[in-house]
Amino acid sequence: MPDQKSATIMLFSTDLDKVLTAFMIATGFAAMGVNVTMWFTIWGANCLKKRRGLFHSWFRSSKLQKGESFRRLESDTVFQNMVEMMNRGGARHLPMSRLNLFGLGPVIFNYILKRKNIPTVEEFIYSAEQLGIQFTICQACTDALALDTDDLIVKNADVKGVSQYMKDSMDAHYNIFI
Amino acid sequence: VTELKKHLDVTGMTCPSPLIQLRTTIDSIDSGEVLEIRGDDPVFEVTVRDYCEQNEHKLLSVQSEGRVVTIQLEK
Repeated sequence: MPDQKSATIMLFSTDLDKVLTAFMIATGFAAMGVNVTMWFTIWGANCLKKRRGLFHSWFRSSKLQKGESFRRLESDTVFQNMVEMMNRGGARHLPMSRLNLFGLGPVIFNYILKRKNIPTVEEFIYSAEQLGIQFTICQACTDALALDTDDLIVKNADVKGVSQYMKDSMDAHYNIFI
Repeated sequence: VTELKKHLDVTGMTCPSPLIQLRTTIDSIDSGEVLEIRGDDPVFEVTVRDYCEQNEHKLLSVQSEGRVVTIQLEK
């Protein structure tokens, strides 16, 4: 390897097309030998969530311990559970930014992707994990949106703050915000 | 010199899948081994050329029959 190049990708949106683009860039760069770090914030973390039931957030018992969790559980409110009901995420259940057609758009889009032999978002996430892409979730997102970092489809997702993002992105040759 | 030749068929796959497949296969073979890769993506040849240039692999031969391009490269 001549010199190790690095890239950071910040994923903000939850839309299927944007997430797919972000993962295409990430996996392609990682395959070319670039050290890729993906950051997930606010709605971006939705694609990493395991799909759970509608009332899961009300009855779940988090494996996170109070002392060592990335969330301040003592200041959680009932509204966070309500947001979780509306914002369940799941890589197979992402909406589209355009032509959503009340949920029909993603179905059609996934059919086109299958015909064209392009991997779905979920397959991209698993191949990204295999290629050694580092997944990092924003601390504020974990705290505000009550994200359970034990309940993700990827292993080894770090939780870090903006200072780490500054260091990563300033050292990187490439940084995008989707 | 006996050369071990590995085959990889990525016909029908669209960018960036051939690149990911190429990377995972290259990682599994030893340095000096020859890999033969076939693909029919319109940007497939450019992709493999860029990959070899970026990661300093030796491109041995490029043959194209219609849309299908067969490339041999040495790790």
